[in-house]
Amino acid sequence: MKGRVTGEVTGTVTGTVPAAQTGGVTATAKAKGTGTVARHPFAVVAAVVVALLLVVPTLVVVPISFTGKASFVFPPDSWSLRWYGNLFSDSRWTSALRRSLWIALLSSVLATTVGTAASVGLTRWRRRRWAAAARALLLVPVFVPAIVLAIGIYTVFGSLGLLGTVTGFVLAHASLGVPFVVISVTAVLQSFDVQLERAAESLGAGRWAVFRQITLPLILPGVLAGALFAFVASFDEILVSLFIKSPFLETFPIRVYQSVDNDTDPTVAAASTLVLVVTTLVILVAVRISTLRTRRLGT
Amino acid sequence: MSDAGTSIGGARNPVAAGGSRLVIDGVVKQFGGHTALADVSLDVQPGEFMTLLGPSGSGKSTTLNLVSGFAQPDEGTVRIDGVDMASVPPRRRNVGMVFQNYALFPHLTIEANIAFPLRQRRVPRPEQARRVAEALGTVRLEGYGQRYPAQLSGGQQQRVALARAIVFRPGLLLMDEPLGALDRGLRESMQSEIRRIHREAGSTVLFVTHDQEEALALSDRIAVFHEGRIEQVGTGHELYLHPASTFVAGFLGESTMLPAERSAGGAWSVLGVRVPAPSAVPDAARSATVVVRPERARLRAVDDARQDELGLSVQVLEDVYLGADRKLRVRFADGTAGVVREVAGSMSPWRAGDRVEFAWRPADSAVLPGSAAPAVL
Amino acid sequence: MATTQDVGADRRAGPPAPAAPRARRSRFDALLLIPALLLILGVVGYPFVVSVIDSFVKVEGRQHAYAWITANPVYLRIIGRTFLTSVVAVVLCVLLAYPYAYVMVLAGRRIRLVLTVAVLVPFWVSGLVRTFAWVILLQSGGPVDRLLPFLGRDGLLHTQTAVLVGLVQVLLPFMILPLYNSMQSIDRRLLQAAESLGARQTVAFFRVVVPLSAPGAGAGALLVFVTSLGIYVLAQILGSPATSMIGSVVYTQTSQLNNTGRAAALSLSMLAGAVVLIGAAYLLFRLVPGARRAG
Ligand SMILES: Nc1ncnc2c1ncn2[C@@H]1O[C@H](COP(=O)(O)OP(=O)(O)OP(=O)(O)O)[C@@H](O)[C@H]1O
Ligand SMILES: [Mg+2]
Repeated sequence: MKGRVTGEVTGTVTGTVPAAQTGGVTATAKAKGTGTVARHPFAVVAAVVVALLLVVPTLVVVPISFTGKASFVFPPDSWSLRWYGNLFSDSRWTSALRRSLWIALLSSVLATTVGTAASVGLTRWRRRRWAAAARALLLVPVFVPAIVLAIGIYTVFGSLGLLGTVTGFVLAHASLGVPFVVISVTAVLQSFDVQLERAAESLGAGRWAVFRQITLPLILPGVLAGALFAFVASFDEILVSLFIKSPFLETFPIRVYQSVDNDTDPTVAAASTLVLVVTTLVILVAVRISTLRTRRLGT
Repeated sequence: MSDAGTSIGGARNPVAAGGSRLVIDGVVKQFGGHTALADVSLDVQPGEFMTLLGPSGSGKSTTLNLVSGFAQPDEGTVRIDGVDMASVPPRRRNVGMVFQNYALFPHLTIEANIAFPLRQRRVPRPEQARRVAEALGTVRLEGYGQRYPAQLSGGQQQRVALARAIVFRPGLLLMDEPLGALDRGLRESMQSEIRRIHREAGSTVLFVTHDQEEALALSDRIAVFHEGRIEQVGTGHELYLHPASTFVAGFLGESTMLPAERSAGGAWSVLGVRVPAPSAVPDAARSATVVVRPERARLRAVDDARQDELGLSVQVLEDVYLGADRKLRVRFADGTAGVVREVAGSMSPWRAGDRVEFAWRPADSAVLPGSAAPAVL
Repeated sequence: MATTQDVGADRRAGPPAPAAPRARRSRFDALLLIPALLLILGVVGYPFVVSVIDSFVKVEGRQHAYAWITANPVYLRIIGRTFLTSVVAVVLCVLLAYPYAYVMVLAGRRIRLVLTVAVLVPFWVSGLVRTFAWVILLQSGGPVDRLLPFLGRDGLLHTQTAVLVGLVQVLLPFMILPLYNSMQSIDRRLLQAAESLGARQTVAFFRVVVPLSAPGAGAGALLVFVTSLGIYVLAQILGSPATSMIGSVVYTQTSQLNNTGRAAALSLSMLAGAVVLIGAAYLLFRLVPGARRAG
């Protein structure tokens, strides 16, 4: 039963996220549906409210980051840039930020590499039952509450001396990122025309050349989406990180968390604004690139 | 096509420079319990244009896959220029392949698509460029090199696929229904392109289609597939005039198929009319099929018997005037359907409803063992 | 009829069946899974087994972990509260996600793009940042307190409501995206057909859209539920000890008291409860006739 649920869940999530990410939404939405929408006033109102709920609350961190006082009073009555100064000069913030970026980069590369290889294996493996089982196993990190994973990781990493090490963080974060990579890469592989690989092979390409020159470029949107997911999954990860951190190795989210939990220091608002802006930019660029690409390949 | 580039990335075997010899010998292929190919043998001469013709599921693509190396035979061998291909992977077979849906690489320009096999063979850049330009010229797509496949029409894509398959001068070119996706007009112009390219490149071609006209128009020889076997191999002319089985007769062109029976006394008759004993039928056989092509039969008045003809009474069901010729559909006494074609200038006066005789000269008919599935109206 | 065959007509539909790749190849393909499986088994699988064993074997404070749980009803209550909170979060997410996804499907290009970005941006922006934003909004004397002072005497921060509000806002994209995806694949003509047959829009929605999108809703619900069960930081920031969820106890037991056996037992009890609950929900879902057809 668990297997079936997993299948349905991943099937649905699969189509969604990469498609939405890669501009599928913009490309397919041609129908003039405005008239239809207008006939559902209740739904429209509800959707507007939900959209506001999704976006607006988070934006309060922006004005707070420019506040002149060391408080979270909203709206601020005086303004300053000093929290940004703080953010970039306080070594607790800067080193946590650098560390998180580094860990996110490494774990994203690791997750993307093994996840992409696994996805190719999953789609090709002729023993479909075994492949389905392997897939379910690779998706476990998404479907098991994080707290359950965290405690086991804490125990095992403790006995291996991995607590508070970059290696430990990278391993833990990468395995949390693998499901995202597998989901988005298998999604693009599903629509990949295997005939192209045969064509390449018949034209003289070896296995690696086929992958490098044909398969990889064509599934690249899925791979990049997966890599982005894995990166963000790591950069945002807090729960497992709290268990495996050490006083000497803290990540950016841990720093944010401790700051929110302990003091009213608007530096955390500056940090949050930074994250907000950078993330939004990355998404917009990703959507733009994939739209251009989709147009060129005529898919 | 003689030039300095022939040795680079050309066929392994100098003898095969023009075209490879392909020998398929006693090949059997099963999928699960299902036999896709039951003992197929075929000998294709260097430079020959061989077409595999047959209904859907008869094993044509499977045969092609065995030759290209994407599948392995369970029994039997595939040899190209005398070399057993059993342990040769597809990329080392030096076989060009055109896929039904073209399988162009969507992320590469037309030029890069065509250069792909040359790049794999590490042909020097300038040489690559020269040969790509030449191939584009061959398929008449000069000036399209910088485009992407999605920016070409179906027929143009088809030609790119062709260019890509011949640019590395394979000794053997495989095409699996390459024109299947094109509309009729385009199909005919592509047929003549393919004929011309085959002539210029001189490579051996193995071509799959289930369009009999296409097969007749293109091929040196045709192999007719039926349920995992080859029913007959021969030129279009041979297959049409001397079909080896009722299946071939039925598959290629129209014909009238009449049941022949042997009485206890040993005499053969068709619908009660005595006919000479057929030579192509085993002695023990009790039944056979007489095949008469529509243009070899004529309709005559009941009293117009001729010495060298056999005649059976029929009723004319319809007459269809087609301009240069006319087609008459008739029905025999037992319900068997027949067809007669008359060319302009020698058209008979018969109309639908007339009772006449269907006549043919035994020498113009083929008598085949076994009974055809009766075509009853 | 004469025996000419219309060869074109007897073509099988669909592309020609691909030939079987060689066995050698297939085995190689399976090898590609090894690194990922090693990673997951090493970092997730093996530790999980270790914590299962720990939860049964370890004796901490002279007590086996499960005995300790049963001896302290407070932990069962916390587990109960965790489940309740998560279920309420799922229900709220479903209620909010349905109209949103529905409008997303029906809307024209522009509106759809706006709605998509509105759900994607929060999806990508750190949950921690969004949680922090609620601290500013819900704090005593904060905007919400001033606008709706009747809601709580001292602001909503550190209440159960705050935890729920935060949870729903953070997890809503996980509900909307799968739901939108499954709705999108519903044939729009089906809706038009339903409406033209005289069904009012609401009826069309409940008779056609809801059953057909049930798999997406189920997927989203599962994601929201599971994520919500495992939260710690959000409950810590927006809640209070009185609203604490299982995550807090597990964290305290692990990193402050080093009682990993107890922590494991707690989290595994919760996991077992979750599996039972999800199984029950699944069976219930199967029993609903409309939903079964859709699944
Ligand atoms: N990979 C496979 N697995 C199982 N059966 C197969 C496979 N490939 C082919 N077959 C079966 O083998 C038989 C021959 O198939 P093949 O593709 O060679 O037919 P074909 O002559 O090319 O037909 P078409 O004209 O439809 O392309 C068919 O019955 C087909 O179902
Ligand atoms: Mg075929």
